Amino acid sequence: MRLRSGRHLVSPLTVPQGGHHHRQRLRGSDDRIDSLPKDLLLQVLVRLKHAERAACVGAVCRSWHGLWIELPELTFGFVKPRMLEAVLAKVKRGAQVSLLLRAATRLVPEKLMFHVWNHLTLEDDPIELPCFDRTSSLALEVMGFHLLPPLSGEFTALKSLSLSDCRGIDIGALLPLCPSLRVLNMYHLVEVGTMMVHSASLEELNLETKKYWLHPN
Amino acid sequence: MAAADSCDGISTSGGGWEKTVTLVSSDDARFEVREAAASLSQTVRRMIRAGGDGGIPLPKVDARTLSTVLEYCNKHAAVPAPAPESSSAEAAAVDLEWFDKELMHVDLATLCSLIRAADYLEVAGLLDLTCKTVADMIKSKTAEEIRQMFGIQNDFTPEEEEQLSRENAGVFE
Repeated sequence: MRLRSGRHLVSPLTVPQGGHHHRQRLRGSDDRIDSLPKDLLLQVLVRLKHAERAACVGAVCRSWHGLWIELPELTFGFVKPRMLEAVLAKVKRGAQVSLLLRAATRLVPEKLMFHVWNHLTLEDDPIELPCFDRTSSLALEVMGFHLLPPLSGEFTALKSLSLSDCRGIDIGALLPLCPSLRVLNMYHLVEVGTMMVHSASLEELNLETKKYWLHPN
Repeated sequence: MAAADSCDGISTSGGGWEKTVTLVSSDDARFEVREAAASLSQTVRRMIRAGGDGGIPLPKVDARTLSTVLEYCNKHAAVPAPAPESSSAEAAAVDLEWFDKELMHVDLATLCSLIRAADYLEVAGLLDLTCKTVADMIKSKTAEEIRQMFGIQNDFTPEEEEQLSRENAGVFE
């Protein structure tokens, strides 16, 4: 094959022209898996899919220990519910509440009461509510947290919803996702502004406000 | 002319003309590569745009590693885009999967160099492939098996090790 530049090219295209081509690689420190920089090790760990597997890999050596808590996303596959708090205590970022709620969806609860107060790190980022599609009763008391409705899915089976002390929840966006909702309780909601409640299924609405925080319309 | 030496061309079997670039490894090996294949590397793509003489220097990748990276790029850039869900699309996907699997039949040192190279060259597909390969190697192994496989020294004290296994057992059993 003749190149426009006049050089000849041996097929396939990628045969090197000169240079030292070692058939047998001499192992240097850079060739070792444990010498990979942290961000590349995390690229490997994230492909283990489950956080608990990544955590077990931390028992290999000191430099790998605790790496898993820096994973961009944590998915728990087999962790015992009662041990979740111990696991979450290791997560340094302010993502505990989101993680805990996501973990709760895996248990497919019929009824869920979720209370979070200041003993967990407060985070400023809003928490996206995961979809509890088989839960019939959901009570969320999330002091100071800003809740967002789920991006996808519906609370198909939800009949009773109680929201307490959460900030900025958009009821108008949440209610259309709850086609079977009969009872809606809202206590001490903060930063919600004007609230419109439209629901064909709703039978009971309880609203309790704190002075200056909410002006029901 | 800027980039004159790093951007040439070859005539294709169909009688057309395809642009090539010259990549230079850390050990001064020169590789003529189709620009379409080389551009799977975001790093190279940026350097092509910037132009330059005497080929594109890649000082962090040796010839042996670069040769494998380019094998990947040539194969993946060569795949035409058939209509999705057609039988040829399915066949192409199976062929690529087989190719990727074969490419990963390398020793650990090479695999490690490929991860570094894929990261430096920003070849996303190859980074995913190599990291997935290592993840598959370790996912069902104990810490001791992983140490043996990779030749990693256990630098925990016996007390620390005991505490670790207690923690992991308690949380993940």
